[in-house]
Parts: sequence; C-alpha cells; structure tokens
Amino acid sequence: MKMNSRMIMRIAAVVILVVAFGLQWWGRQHRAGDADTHGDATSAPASASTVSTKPVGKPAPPKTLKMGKLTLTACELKRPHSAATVAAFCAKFPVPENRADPESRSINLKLAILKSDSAVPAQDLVVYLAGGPGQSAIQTYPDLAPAFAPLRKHHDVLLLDQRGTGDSHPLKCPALEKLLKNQGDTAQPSIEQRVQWVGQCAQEVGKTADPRYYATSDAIADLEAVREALGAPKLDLVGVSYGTRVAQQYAAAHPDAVRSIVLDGVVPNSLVLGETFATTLQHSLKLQAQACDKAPACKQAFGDWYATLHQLYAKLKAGQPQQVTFEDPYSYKPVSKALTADTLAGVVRLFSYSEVTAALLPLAVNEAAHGNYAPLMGQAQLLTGDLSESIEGGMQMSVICTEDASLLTPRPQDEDLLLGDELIKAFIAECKVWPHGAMPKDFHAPFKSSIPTLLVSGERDPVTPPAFADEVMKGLSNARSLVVKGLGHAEAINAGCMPDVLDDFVANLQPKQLKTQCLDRIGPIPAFVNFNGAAP
Amino acid sequence: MSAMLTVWWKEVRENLRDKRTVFSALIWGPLFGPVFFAIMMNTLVTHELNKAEGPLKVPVIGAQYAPNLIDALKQQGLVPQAPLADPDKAVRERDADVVLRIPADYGKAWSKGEPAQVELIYDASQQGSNTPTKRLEGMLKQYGSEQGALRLLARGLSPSVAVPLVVSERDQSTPQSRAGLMLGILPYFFVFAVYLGGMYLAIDLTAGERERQSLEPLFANPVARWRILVGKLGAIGAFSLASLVLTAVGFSVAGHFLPAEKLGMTFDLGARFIGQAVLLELPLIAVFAVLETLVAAFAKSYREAQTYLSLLMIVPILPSMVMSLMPVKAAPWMYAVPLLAQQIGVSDLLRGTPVSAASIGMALVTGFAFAAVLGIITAQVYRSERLAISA
Repeated sequence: MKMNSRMIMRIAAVVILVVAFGLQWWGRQHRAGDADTHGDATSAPASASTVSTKPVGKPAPPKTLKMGKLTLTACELKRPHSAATVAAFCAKFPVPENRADPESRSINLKLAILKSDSAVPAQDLVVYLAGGPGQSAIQTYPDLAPAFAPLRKHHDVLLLDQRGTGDSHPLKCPALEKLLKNQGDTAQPSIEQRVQWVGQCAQEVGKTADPRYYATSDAIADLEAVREALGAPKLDLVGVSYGTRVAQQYAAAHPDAVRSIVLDGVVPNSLVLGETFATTLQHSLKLQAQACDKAPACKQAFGDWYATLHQLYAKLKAGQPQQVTFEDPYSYKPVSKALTADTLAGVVRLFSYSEVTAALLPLAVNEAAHGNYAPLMGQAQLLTGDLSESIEGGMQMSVICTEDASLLTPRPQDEDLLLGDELIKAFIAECKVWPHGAMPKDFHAPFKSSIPTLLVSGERDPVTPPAFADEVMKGLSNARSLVVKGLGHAEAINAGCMPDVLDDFVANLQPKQLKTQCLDRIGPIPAFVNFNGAAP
Repeated sequence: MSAMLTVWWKEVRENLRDKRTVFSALIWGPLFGPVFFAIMMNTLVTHELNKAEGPLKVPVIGAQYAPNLIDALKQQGLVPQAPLADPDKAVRERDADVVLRIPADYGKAWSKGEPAQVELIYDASQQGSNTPTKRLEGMLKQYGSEQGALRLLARGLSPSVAVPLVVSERDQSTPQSRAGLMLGILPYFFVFAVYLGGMYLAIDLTAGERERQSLEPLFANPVARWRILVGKLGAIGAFSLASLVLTAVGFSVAGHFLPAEKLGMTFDLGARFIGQAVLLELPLIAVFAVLETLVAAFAKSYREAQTYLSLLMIVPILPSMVMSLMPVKAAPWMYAVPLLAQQIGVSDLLRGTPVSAASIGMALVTGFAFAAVLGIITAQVYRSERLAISA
C-alpha cells in the first residue's frame, strides 16, 4: 500500500531529520539555530540532473520552460533516502555576492519551478522559504510536498535555494564537520575549543566566499531579483521556521510583490535566535507531561514524568559519565558510549520536535531512570549515527552572527533548565571570530502588514510555540492564527487537512472566513506506556 | 448577387417559421451539449471524490477494546457508527459497505507485542464496497506500520531496518489526462451543433422542396442553378452558425458549473475561447452545408434524406471517438485534416493551450478547400435535370 510505505517514510524522515539535528545540536553542543522537523538530511547536495530519457539513437533535447527572462531546463529533484524524484524545471541564476558592489564575485543561485497540474495556472507564484537557517528549499521540499499538493493544482511553486545553502554557493565547513564526527559525544568541547573550530571554518569558507554577505537581507534581495527575472509575478510566501523570518523581512521590504503569506513555526522579528531555546523546550516538556498526566495509562506507568526527567538529568550532570554498552540501531553490533546529561538533553530536545517521536520520550526517560539505558542510547545513536548534513553551518553562522548575536546576553536564569545557557555564551564567543556584516536598521522591528496572512503553530512546538504567533498577530490586520493540538515544530503545515486549508486561504485570501473545523480531528498520538505502544 | 440573396432570405425566413428546424438547430443542439456535459461531469466527479475523500462511515464492533486505534482512525477521517447485530447480513443487504470488528482479546495481544487482529467484513461482489474497504484497509495498515516503526524506535532501533524495500510509485497521470475521456468527447458537441444546426434545413431545401414540387418552379427562373445553390447553402450555413455560436456560449456558461476545481483543472471559456472555437469550426459549416445538401439531393424523399443524414452523423463522431479511446498527441499536420483539426483545436482551447494562428489558418484553408471541392460536385448534381423532378 502506498499509504503504508509513506507512513514508514514519514517516520524515517522524522528520525533522519532528528539525525540531522543531532549533528548540529549535539556536535556543536547546543549550536542548532532554529530548525525544522521536516528538514531532511542529505549528505550530498541534490544536484538536479537534466532529464535523461534517452531513446537509443538520438537523445531527446531536454524540455525547457520560459518564464519571464529565464529559460529553465527540465530536471528531477531528488528525494533524500528514496529513489523517488520530483519533476521540475531548474535554472542557475547569477547574482553579485556583495549587492552593494556589482563588480564583486558572482555567485550562482539554484532555483526550481514546479509546474502546476493545471494547464492554466494562477498568475501568482507560490514560494517555499526553508528553515534552518541553512536548509536548502530544493532539498527539503519533498518532505513538505504534501502541504503543497492542493496548492499545486492551480499554482506553480518556486523553490530558491537561499544563498549559502543547497546548490546556491553553500558555505560548507568540512574541517569542522570532520572534527565533530571524530569527536564523539563523551568530551564536551569547551567554548575556546569551538571558537577555534569556527575560526578554522571561517578560513576555509573564506577561500570561495565572503561570509559577510549571506544573511537574510541578502537573501530577500536575491528573491526579489529572481521574481523580477521571472516576469514579476505576485508571490504567495510560504515560510517555515526560520523561513518565516525571511517571509516577514521580504514582505516588509517589497509589500507590493506579496499577495499572501503563510507562516508555519512562526519566528517574530523581535525574537533573537537562540535566546529562547531553553525556555521554549521547557514549556513543551511541561505540556507533554501534562498530557501524560491526563492519560490514565501513561500516568499509571510513569507517575510524575516531568520530575523523573529532571531527577535523571540532575543525576547525570552531577555524576561521572555512565559508560553504556548497547546495540547499534542499524548494524546491531554492540557499541559502548558514555551517557551524559547532554546525551539526555539532546534526545529529549530533538524527539520533542515531532509528535511521533515525542510519544516515545516518557518511556525512554523512565527506562533510563530505572537503569535501562539501551533504548535512550540507541535513540541518541540514531541521532548522530548517520552524520549527514542538512544545514549549512556557515550560512547559519552568517545569519545568527549578523542578526542575533549582538542582541544576545547571558541568561544565568536558564542554568537549571535542560538546555542551560551554554548556547548563548557560545554564540556570543563564536560570532566574534565569524566575519559578519552589520545588522540592517529596524531589523527586529515588529512586522506590520495588511497582506492576508495565515499563521500555523504546533501546540507543543519546542522551538516556536504558539505564543510566538500571537506576538506576530499584533502587527497584522488581515490575519488568522491556527494552533494544532499536540503537534511539534513545523509539522502542522503537513498535518491532516491543513494542506486544504492552506489552499483555501491562498485561493480566497479570506483568513477570517477560513473553515478550520477539520483541524480539530488532528491530535497527538498517545505516549507509549511500554515497548509495545500505548494502550490498545 | 441579388438572386442569391433572395433565395437566402426566402429560405431563412421560411425555416424560422418551422418549429422543428428551429428547435433542432437553435435549442436542442446548443443546449444539449453544455447541459449534458455539466451534469455528467458533476455527478461522476463528485460521486468518486466523495467515496475517495469524504468522511468514511463504518459500523465498528468492539470499539471499546481498542480506543487508541479508533482515535487514530478518526484522525484519518473514519466516522465510527454504532455496532450492528448481524454484520454479515448488513453487508450482504447493502446496509453497510464494510464493517470493522475488533475482537475482545485485541488488547491482550497488543500489550504482549503479538500481532493483534482486526476484521473487515464486506461483500466483494457488491459494487461500491471496494473503495471504502480499500480506504479502511489503508488506514489500518498505516496505523499498523506507524506503530511498528515506533515500537522499534522505542527499543532504540532504527525503523528503517524493518523496511528493506520501498516501492516508489510514480503516477504520471495528471488531472487533465485523467479527465481525457471527457475532454475527448467535448469537441464533438461543437461538431454536433454545426451538423444538426443545418441538417433539417438541408433536407428541407433540397429533398423537401422536391417532394413538395416547389423546386421545379424555382429552377424555371432565369437564374443560374449554382446561384440558387449558393443561396440555399448560405441559409443552411446561417442556421449552423447560429447553432454553433449558441453552443459556444452555452459551454462558456456551463464552464462555471463544471467541477474543474475538483479535477484540478482550469477551463478557460471566456470570449477568447468562444471566438477562437467559432473561427475554427467555420470551415465545418461550409463542409457540412454542402455535404448535407449533396446527400439530400440524392434522396428521393424528405424521409429518405433524413435517414441518410442521420446515418452520416456517425462520420463527425469518429475523430472524437478515436481521440478519446486512443489519446493521440496532437501533431501539426492534424490541423490540415477537417474534423480532426476541430477535434484537436477545441480540446486544446478548452484546456487553455493556445492554438497558433498558423494552425487555425491551416484548418481554415484546408477546410474551405474541401468544402469547395464538395461544392463543385454538388453544383454538378444540381445541374442535373432529374433533380427538379420529384419521383
């Protein structure tokens, strides 16, 4: 069955994405910026090859699509971890690296157009803005494809790899990645150590790029240039996670170019990336614990799960790292690794991103608290096991160092939380060595707009909780904010009938009249009470 | 010139008084197509989509043994109904398409990690049970595989190890190609309108007048026969044209009632469509007017002409039938073949694919050339003395 395998793929995607984050977060010890659950983890950038339907004899010339001034060539977007592909039209788009200096180095942006099913698509163009910062829109699109399916019946979709990501002159740090891979998870690198790595990475990246020009405002100028080249269609922006920042900044800079905005996993302009990770995770965990308290089977199995989690964390933090032998999740060969407080925090944080993996947390934590560490270690191993990169760390550094780091101040009050305040200190120190531009004026001013806007949040999102959407709503006069029960980060857009709601919104631009009853059917899956699942 | 106009005006005026001609040319033909098409498309598409996507109402026996399973199915669109006393009978008698039964020991097996069984009760011979059963089965399998993957993940193992093989399906059909049959039929309604619009007139003006013995005095006038013929053809063409324009306008209106949204299609049926479709069909008006007159000239009576022309009606259907059964890719040369050109052209216009001026020009040139050839033959038949005399 099609649905069957799709579900497995979804779970695999969740695990893998979590893997992707594992690298980011774990390797660099709390280094992940704002990121996406639906991010995928491709180790190699998906280079879209031209269509290869070559009949014996003479090869068919690749199909092309003319849009505005651009001629795009038929290509296939690879779907990570699957042989399936998405048919599209691709093009390279050269832009000056430094927009203030047209003579500066020219970098190529990769863009793809997904043609609508309709022979006469709507005039406006849907644009997917990926998260991260550092994710490739083209590479992460397949995981979000269900969200776009109804929209694509009438709309073409533009995927533009933001500069510094995917195939758009990515800012890669091979040295840093290699170090992280070999480093394992026993010794936590000190801030000094990490600053040194970041400096090394800056040197490597500096050979082919100037990291100062890879922040959000460069990206929105790129998007505007691409839009004009495509014949200046009006845009329907669909931003996910960090992409919601891009959407708001673009709409503020080019309000006449935007027809509608959809934001999933909303980042308010006032937010300083990194500052709230510890508190928002804590809030999400409380909601997860409350749900367990309300479910008799879960309550009976785990008692006060929130307390158990924190006791275990305190114990691990106070004591020596615990050496654990367990079976590798893929090879099933025994491996031995140390269980630290950070291992626990890593699994808890990343599994909270999705409702599916969050359902496993109470059981894993409870087992570990009672001496059965293997499941938790296996899960941790899954997160780091396949060290594939879905986020360009260099580009992420450029964004955070330009737009956020100068506003970060240490938060000693977070010290007792699961994530602590290490991340903030690390960001501040690292951004001193990472070359970055100046923050645009009013960058963090609230987004004010009357453009029809739809905001979508997962109730238990550990990164961008519904409260963030409430804040953005204050500046919007024609908007609606939807919260889906029990879901995690940036997964509401794909859930249940949300894709149809999205389509309805973009088609009719009546956020306040949207029919959303069908969203009530979506809900969290119940927590596992033993290794065979929740209650029947 | 005035003789041609006189004949034309006389025939048009007379036939406008004839209820049957007016009905068939201006009401039946133009209305039938759009109304039939809109109703058929709506019924078919709505019916199929409701079964495939609407809430799925299924009686559930033993729901209390698996509350979490039922909750998960509800999220996927299941609407559980009250349990039935005799599910087998209910399914046989079509009171239910499919019934879900959860046995009492479901929970025990579930908690032990043994496969827990649920039953689907349905009657495969009942039409209509197939889609709901497949949907419910799909929901259950999805739940099963999701839970299976999570059981592995809970144990710290990778769910992907249990998925050694993934089959990726790449359905290349588009809503357009799925609706291909419908779009294949549609251009026929235009041809039909042209054919039917002139048919009764053609019969009446040649076979009918001969039967009424009014053709002989007409020919007795000192006017060339071909001039009379042209006048008559003009009258036939005028009715055809009226019928065609009404049909095009009819479809333009019906376009608003077609379930294009549900098919993921956009029909572009504005003024541009009407103009181009009518232009494309113009040569057919000439071809059919001449052809119908020619056939009618061979018939001995009104009735006989009617029989012949009804049989001949199959000819314009042929390209439509061939195209809908074997969707052939449109090639430029096809615009040079009368009927085929109209078939391809109108379906392209419907889908909003622009039809080039060159293609329309080609269709016009070859169509009118064909009509001219037929016209010369018909003129020869008209010159024959036997034509005027009724048997």
